[in-house]
Amino acid sequence: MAAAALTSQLNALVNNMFAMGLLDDQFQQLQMLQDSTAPDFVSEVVTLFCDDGERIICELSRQLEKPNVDFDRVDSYVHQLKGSSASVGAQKVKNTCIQFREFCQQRSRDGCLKTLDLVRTEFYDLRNKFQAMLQLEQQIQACYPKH
Amino acid sequence: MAATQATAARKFPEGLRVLAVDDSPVCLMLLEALLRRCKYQPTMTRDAATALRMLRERPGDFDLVISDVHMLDMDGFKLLELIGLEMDLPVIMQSANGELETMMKGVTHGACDYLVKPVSLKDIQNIWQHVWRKRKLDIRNHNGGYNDGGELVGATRTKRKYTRKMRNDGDNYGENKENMDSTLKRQRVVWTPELHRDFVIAVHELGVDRAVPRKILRMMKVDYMTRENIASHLQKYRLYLKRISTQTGMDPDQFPEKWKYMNELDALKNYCENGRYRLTPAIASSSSSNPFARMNSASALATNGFLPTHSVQLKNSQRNMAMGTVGHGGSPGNNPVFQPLQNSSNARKCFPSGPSGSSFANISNGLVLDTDDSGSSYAGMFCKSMWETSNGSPSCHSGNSSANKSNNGVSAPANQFQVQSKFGFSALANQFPVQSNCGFSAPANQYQVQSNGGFSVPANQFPVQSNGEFLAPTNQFPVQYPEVNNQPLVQMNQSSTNHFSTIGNDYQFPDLANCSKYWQPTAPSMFPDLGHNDGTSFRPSQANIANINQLSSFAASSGQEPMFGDELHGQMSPIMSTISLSDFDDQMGSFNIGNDTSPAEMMHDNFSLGSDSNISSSTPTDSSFGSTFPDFHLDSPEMPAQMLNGGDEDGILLPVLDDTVDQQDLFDQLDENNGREKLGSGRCVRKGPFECFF
Repeated sequence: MAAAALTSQLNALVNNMFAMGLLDDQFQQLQMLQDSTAPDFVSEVVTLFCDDGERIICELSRQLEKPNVDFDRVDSYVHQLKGSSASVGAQKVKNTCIQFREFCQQRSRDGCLKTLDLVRTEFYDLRNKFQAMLQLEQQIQACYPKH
Repeated sequence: MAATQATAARKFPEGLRVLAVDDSPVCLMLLEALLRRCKYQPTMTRDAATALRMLRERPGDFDLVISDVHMLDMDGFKLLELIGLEMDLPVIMQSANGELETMMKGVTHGACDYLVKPVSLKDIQNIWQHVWRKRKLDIRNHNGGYNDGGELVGATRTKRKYTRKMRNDGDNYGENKENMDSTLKRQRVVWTPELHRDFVIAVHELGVDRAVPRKILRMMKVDYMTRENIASHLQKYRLYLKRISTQTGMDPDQFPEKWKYMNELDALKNYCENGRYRLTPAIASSSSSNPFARMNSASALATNGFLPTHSVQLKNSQRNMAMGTVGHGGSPGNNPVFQPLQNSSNARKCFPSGPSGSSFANISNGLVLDTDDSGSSYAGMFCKSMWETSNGSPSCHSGNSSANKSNNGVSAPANQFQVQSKFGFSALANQFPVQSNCGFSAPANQYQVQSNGGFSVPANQFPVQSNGEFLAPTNQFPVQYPEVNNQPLVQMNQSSTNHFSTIGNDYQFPDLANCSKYWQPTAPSMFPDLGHNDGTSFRPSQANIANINQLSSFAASSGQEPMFGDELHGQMSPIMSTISLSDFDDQMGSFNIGNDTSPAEMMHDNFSLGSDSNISSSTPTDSSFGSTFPDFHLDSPEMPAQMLNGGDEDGILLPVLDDTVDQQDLFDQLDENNGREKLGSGRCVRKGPFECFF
């Protein structure tokens, strides 16, 4: 019973993430790729995304703090984040990355900093939800005895 | 056959060895999952340097590379470039950046595909096509006729064995299948950094424009490499130079900036690399006015220059078969027109040592890239190799001239301008458009050459249009030959009848006559004042195909240095890949060239020449020329000067032979012609209204 409740909670969470535009179809692709050969695929990718995203955001703020900002480098990082978020279906983060890159191209440090804040907010918001999601999954799995 | 292929194809993509490079771990993980889902064998790495090292250390271990565009340690384009130069593997670029410009850049740099992140399962499911295409191309290259000796090398390779018999059995697919089933490995030359460095040094010492594979090979002193390997690499290298000189994005590194190569070449090379056609604007525009061509002879099998397609297949198992379509949009099988052409055995009788019409090629303009002075033009070699392939006798001497070499339907590159070959051969134009609608066209030095029928030799300073059979070089005057029509070609040869006479009835080229019918009304006459000389010589009616064939043979046989088929490999590969040929025996099929016109239409009703083809109704009287092109240097600045018209001053030789001709005489004459080549400096081969103007 507990498992069913948890499952519906999980579904509600994921649906809510879709509804808020945090996620897009790509996330469903991930779910589709999870099969018996890769049973934990989604949680692995999501975990990796959370770690990697955090790393990139730290790197970005460090780059932007420098007196002479290397915008090309910043752009590369943003591009990486964009790729990552596109891969997991993190739609909002991805879209913000697109804006971010525009500021990079304009060589606008202020613009970049502002967008970085935005990206950060969105990313952590998403990360929290992902973590909640993973937690629920773990709890659900724990409900079933291991075979 | 289709079924077995399908089986092979079903099994094939599984186990495809893919090297994926992406510095984003998330993307890499997704990509890996996708690749595994497709049952490929992925190898993942996060940095380009590692990828490159793996590729260099284990050259045979990958079939395909997927690389991210933006990587922190190395630009994906750079990696792409290096892989292209060293490994000859298909590379797919992927990026989160889907901007048109970036995508174009990827394709320009030789990516066979460009995926925008997030990469979907569907994308990955389809990537095997690139491997398949490339492999097929390679196999066809092998089948197309170079010797086993042309193969390489490398400890990890399994040596494929193609016997001549296999090559000739007309069933290329059987080999494909066998090859595909047995192993995914293929022959590849591994261009290690050291080798490449040696190569670059050699090229620089020779000068980029003058570097030809043979010399490079000599300088590199690498015994396990063949000329073809060098040629192929040189081709890529040149393309690379071209790209870096035209794009600011790339770092020109150790390569020279200046690169003048023509668009056609690029297109061709791109074809090589990418396995697909990319037309440069120049080509596109010219080919659109290039309705079609057909001819029965080997020579006639040439080309629309730019677009060799897979559709040309000749097999001796089929008689009277359609030769196929050359060009975009054309479809084979719609060309009912073909007339029995020529009996290759006859041709052989007449020309034991030359490629007669029995061998032919579909070669595009961009093809013949490098020839050195010793006369190893690819075209010639190609002819030869085909000849060898089909006849089993290496008796063809490739000439010193590229033109020779271009005999069997080979059209050579234009250096800076467009070349159109409607049928027959078109050799290269150095600076201006060349159009050959039938027959051969040799290089034009500075002006356009149009040959609507027959051969055209280089024009040095003025536009040349040849609607008739042969076109000799003009130095200062525009020349037009009227449409092909109804007089035996022999009439063209009055001055040299002792050498040539009409060939037997065996060879007929009725289509030509038809052509003329259509040409006339559709083509504007540029020089109406020339008048209409119906009775004059230029009107081969049942145009004897033999003429053409033999002409080709002559040209080919006038060479000085025997070459062998395997010489061809590298540069000709685009061609080879597009043509499967076997022994053509009795009949040639129709040959349709064109871009936008539907084949049937082109063949029958609408023999309209391109917008820039002018057909004049006027006929120059008693001009006879021989057009053997003994010395045709492609890829060299002074090339046009070398284009020779094999004829000599008394206005010879349309090599139309009949059985009674004393061949020795003929060949003597040819030799003589060769001896006197260097026509570019101003030898005129014609008499009549257009005397020598040089």
